Amino acid sequence: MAFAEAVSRRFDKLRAAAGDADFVLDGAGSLTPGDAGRVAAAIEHLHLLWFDEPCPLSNLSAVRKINDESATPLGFGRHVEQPGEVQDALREEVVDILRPDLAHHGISQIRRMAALAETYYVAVAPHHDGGPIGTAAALHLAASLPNFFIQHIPIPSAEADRRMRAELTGGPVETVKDGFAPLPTAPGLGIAVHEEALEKYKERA
Amino acid sequence: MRRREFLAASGIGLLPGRPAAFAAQSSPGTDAFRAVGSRIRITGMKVFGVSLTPDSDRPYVFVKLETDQGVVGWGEATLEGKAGAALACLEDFRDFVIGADPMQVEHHWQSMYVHSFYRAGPVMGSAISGIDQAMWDIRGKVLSLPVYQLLGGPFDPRGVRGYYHADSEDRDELLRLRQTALREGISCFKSGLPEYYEWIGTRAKIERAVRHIQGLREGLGPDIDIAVDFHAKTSPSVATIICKEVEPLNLLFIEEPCPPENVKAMARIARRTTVPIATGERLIAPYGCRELIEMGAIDILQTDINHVGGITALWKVAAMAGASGISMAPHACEGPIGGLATLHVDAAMPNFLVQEICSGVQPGMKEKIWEEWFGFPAMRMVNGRFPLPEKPGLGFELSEASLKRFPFGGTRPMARVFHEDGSVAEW
Repeated sequence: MAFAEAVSRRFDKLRAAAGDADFVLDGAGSLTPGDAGRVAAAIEHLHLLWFDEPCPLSNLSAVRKINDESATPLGFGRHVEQPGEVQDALREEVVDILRPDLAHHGISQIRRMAALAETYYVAVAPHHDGGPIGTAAALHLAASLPNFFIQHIPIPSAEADRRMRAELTGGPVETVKDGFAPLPTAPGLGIAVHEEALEKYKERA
Repeated sequence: MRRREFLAASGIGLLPGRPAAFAAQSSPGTDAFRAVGSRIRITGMKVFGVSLTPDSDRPYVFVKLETDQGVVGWGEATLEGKAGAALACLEDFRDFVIGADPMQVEHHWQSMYVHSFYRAGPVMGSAISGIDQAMWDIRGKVLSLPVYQLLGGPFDPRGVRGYYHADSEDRDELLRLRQTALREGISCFKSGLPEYYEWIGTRAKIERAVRHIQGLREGLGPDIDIAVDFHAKTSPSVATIICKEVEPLNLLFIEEPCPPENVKAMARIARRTTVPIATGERLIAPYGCRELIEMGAIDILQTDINHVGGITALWKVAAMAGASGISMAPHACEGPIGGLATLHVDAAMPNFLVQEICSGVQPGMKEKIWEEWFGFPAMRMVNGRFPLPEKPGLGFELSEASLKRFPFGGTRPMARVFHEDGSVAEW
């Protein structure tokens, strides 16, 4: 329980610093279902947006206990291989927000998973820790899904990295203003990948 | 959360002086989407009731959307036995449609479904289907692409595999049908059951049903796929007995072996036999299909593009079905607009099996009228497949004048059939 209390204290501090911003707790699949259940219950009163990947999505009956024991919304999906696994998670009522991965599942597969999730009143927040092309794809996907909730945009903290990402896509697509990333307006993904920039930033062996 | 606040805030701006609780209401495609939506607006909606014969039980209900750019879109909302209700429900959606940006079809689908408060049954499902199809027709025309390309298709360059109905019980007629099928490349037929059944079946009726299905296999031969539509005439108890008896015939599927309301009863039949079970033509919206798909018991879904919620909903149902390994064989027994619209979605389904058309191998009056309307033989197969439309949108032009020859003859009930004792039978 010390862990749960530490999490709780940490969010108290974050809240104090960040005012009315909302937060997600990322469990990175590192807890057991039993521990995850205790944490989920202990942080229930914090009203986080959700508790992401609290444990591996392996044994559904064990995972289900987490949701049975608390009202903390749970996010799963970045590691699933098949839409059938998403369906099992929805049917077993273990998931509150679906988190398929942009690079792993792509636009087409995520659209199919989202159609399934919609009939369970489950929102979609695609997982994304890749590059700016993925971000451009994520924006189009988000605008097309009725049950889209929010998009993680992996904006690096170093200014040089941010500049590189904007250069690669021929202009910034990851600019968030007033909480929103503007939708691209050009055809296709709406970016022009800069091949010279790709060459410039290529990883050298 | 912030997204919702943003949408609500824009609504407040549109309706000064209204209480905040009502302020989120705004007309479609307005300020919130000004920077990102298209500049096309729907300016007119025309609704047509079209009776090919004055006593038709399924007058076609067509809807035409007109835009300020001159592009028009057609959709179909035909609802068998309830034409007047479908026409009226389309009119009820007029406020949702006029002024809307037709490119935002998902937004408008959600608005029609959610803002109706009472969730969609067949009447509302059909009206949404018609408007949805017409918006997709406009989208395709504006983008100069057939709708199946917008949906990510086609999967099969040869077209969309289909089946006609084979209603004969006569051995010689079935043999002739087989010869025609082999000559024309037709690979599949569907037939029905010969009589009406109570919830427990007599030995004589069950044996006649089994013999009928055996006769189909004997007449049509071993290499043509055969589907048998039980049309919900049988109870789960009776259906299971017949299904097990015909297992050795390797049917493509048995359709609606019991009425559709109780999906667990349908699943029970599917669990007790190896014959693939198909159902779904009476299901409305992806929500209406969820439980059946989730159970993973049936094999084939047959949702109808004119009832389930148009192209948007049929595509979603197919995506959901795929997760359970369920194939799609969409129902089509209404008019040609819905038929053609279905082909586009079929062509974009990885789990597509076969497409119905309620026609025989020989075109009749209905098919001739369709050809006159469109200038091509709509919903007729070539080499056992419906050719993919090549033109943008749904792929046809239709003149209002051509419909005038077939004025609305009013709502007529579907077949009303009764048992020998006068009690109500499933048709």
